[in-house]
Amino acid sequence: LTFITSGIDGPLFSPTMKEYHKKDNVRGRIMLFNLEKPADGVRELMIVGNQFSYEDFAPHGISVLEEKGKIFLFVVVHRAEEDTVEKFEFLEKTLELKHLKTYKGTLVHLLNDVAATGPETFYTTDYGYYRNHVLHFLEQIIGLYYGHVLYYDGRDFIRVSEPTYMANGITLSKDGRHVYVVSSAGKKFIVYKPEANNRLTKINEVELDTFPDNPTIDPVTGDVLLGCHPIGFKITKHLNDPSTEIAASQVLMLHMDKSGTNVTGVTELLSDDLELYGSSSATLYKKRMLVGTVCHKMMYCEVNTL
Amino acid sequence: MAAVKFVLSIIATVVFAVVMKKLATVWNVFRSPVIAVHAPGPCIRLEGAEGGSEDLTALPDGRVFISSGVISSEKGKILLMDFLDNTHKIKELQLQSDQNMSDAHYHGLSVWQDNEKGGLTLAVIMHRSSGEDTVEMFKFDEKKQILIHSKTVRDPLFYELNDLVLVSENQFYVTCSLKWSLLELFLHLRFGEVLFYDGSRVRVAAGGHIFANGINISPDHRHVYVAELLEKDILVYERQGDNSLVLKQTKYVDSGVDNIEVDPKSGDLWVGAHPRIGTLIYFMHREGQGAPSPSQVLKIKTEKGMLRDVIEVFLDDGGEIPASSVATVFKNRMVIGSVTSNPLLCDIKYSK
Repeated sequence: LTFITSGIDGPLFSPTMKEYHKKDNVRGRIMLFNLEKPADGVRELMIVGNQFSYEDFAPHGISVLEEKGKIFLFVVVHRAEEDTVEKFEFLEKTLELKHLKTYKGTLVHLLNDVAATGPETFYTTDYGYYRNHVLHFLEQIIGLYYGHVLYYDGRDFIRVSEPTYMANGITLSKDGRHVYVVSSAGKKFIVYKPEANNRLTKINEVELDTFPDNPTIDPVTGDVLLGCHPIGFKITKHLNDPSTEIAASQVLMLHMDKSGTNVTGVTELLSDDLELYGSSSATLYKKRMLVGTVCHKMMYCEVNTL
Repeated sequence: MAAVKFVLSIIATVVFAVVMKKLATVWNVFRSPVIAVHAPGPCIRLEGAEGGSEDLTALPDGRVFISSGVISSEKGKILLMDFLDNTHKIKELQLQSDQNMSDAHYHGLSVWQDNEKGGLTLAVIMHRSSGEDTVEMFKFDEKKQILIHSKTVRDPLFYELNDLVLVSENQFYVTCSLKWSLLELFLHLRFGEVLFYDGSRVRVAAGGHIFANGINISPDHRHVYVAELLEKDILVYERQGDNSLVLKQTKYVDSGVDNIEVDPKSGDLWVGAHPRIGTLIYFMHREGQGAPSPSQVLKIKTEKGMLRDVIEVFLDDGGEIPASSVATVFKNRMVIGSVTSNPLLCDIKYSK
């Protein structure tokens, strides 16, 4: 089962994005796709809960946690006034998501992705300071290290990393002992080790010749699948004006060693600029791959040569 | 006084700009990109060409001639492989000649089949131990499966020959990667040339190249393609009536392009390339020992002889095959040659 966030928006994006959404009637939604039954297609999951507002719901990063037979989803949401992380429970029978909780904090500026560690705890990437899209762009261009990795310890958000540069995608390693963070504009894949006090120490940094976005873990091998943007200026133009500008797509697989800290090799699973624009994430299940994009379509592939 | 200072400062700025541009070019040449590997299908490593397979060319019937032994520690050989042979055996061809060919190091090769008379001519570049570069022409004896030496072509213009392409039984274009010395490369000077041998004389067909290496011709013989390794581009020349060449297109491909093979039906180019030129140079210096240089195969689609889309068909970090210099395709199977070792045979299942 694959959960997908759709309809990204927020003060971070330029006004043309809102026009692009209005044309196709796009709203913020969470969808479901079953890689075991791809013929079923993509289905929207209705969100229930009286504390939940659909109005300014713009979901971004997502993380799944299975606990005691229940499936919880943690989603980064860009609301009009601030960014939040919202927790849902997946009700399989009715295909609904029950909204359970909204997490807010003063340290939260601009969130991107989330990685759940427990029913009330998670890591999240605060990837910049400015929520305004012009200032965010400048922050990126100048190269300001205004972001941090945050940890919600059950009560509040705390900063657990050194200042980061555009750290966006985040996920836990297969054995849960390391935290993988991706710096998109920094073109890096970073491996952190959580200490006893939940602080993160950086133990490895790998330069990639592309702009990586979100990482997912292959549950069998522990390898990391990255949705990437190989041509930087094109994805920037595409996000600014999705209806006329096109961007290239790429999916890389980083082969990790037993310790989960070193990258032993890189395989390119997808490289395309004609059919799919702006690949941001990919997941692999039994030779089937689903590739998601920021604001274009999704692609379902069979992986035969690895 | 002020006027002199002004002129001097202008000159200084110009010199500074030129130096910075040259430095930037050099930086681009030695850039080491991250290698994200991918293959178009399953691949197997062949045996029998341990001394290298720097250049190869296929006949329409699936047979492939391979030149081996470019690096100085290996003995030069000409080998034969057959795509239709399921055992993938590579055998060494015996050379019959009244000259001593034992100290030879072979480089680029080209084959010409005479469709009327049925003869097969093979021309190969030989680096002799004396330091002289010559072009050796052979006739292939089908019955005895040996190469009979027919001619040696020498000329004072022949210097640092790299690759050649036969346009008839006894005429060819050949690339000279340098004119005088390696110093040319450090100073980024454009002295490499393409020469034409018309059966009796050698003359310059085109000049001004930086390390011209691979050369080949379109199926209709109207366009000649030249790979410039250090410029990371491929030049398209239009062949004139007098066999001179006029430059029509410069296609930058951002990789150390080596040898070019042309698909006889589609006219597409198959190019063996070195993604990390710095690593290649160091790898060659160590004669193929130690950390391998990565490999890449590009397919370039053509339109009326001009180069269009570039598709990366194969990329490897050197683990499957190091330092790929050439590739050719026969019925959805591709053989990739390496400067320093055995070739790789791949099925092309997933590629545009």
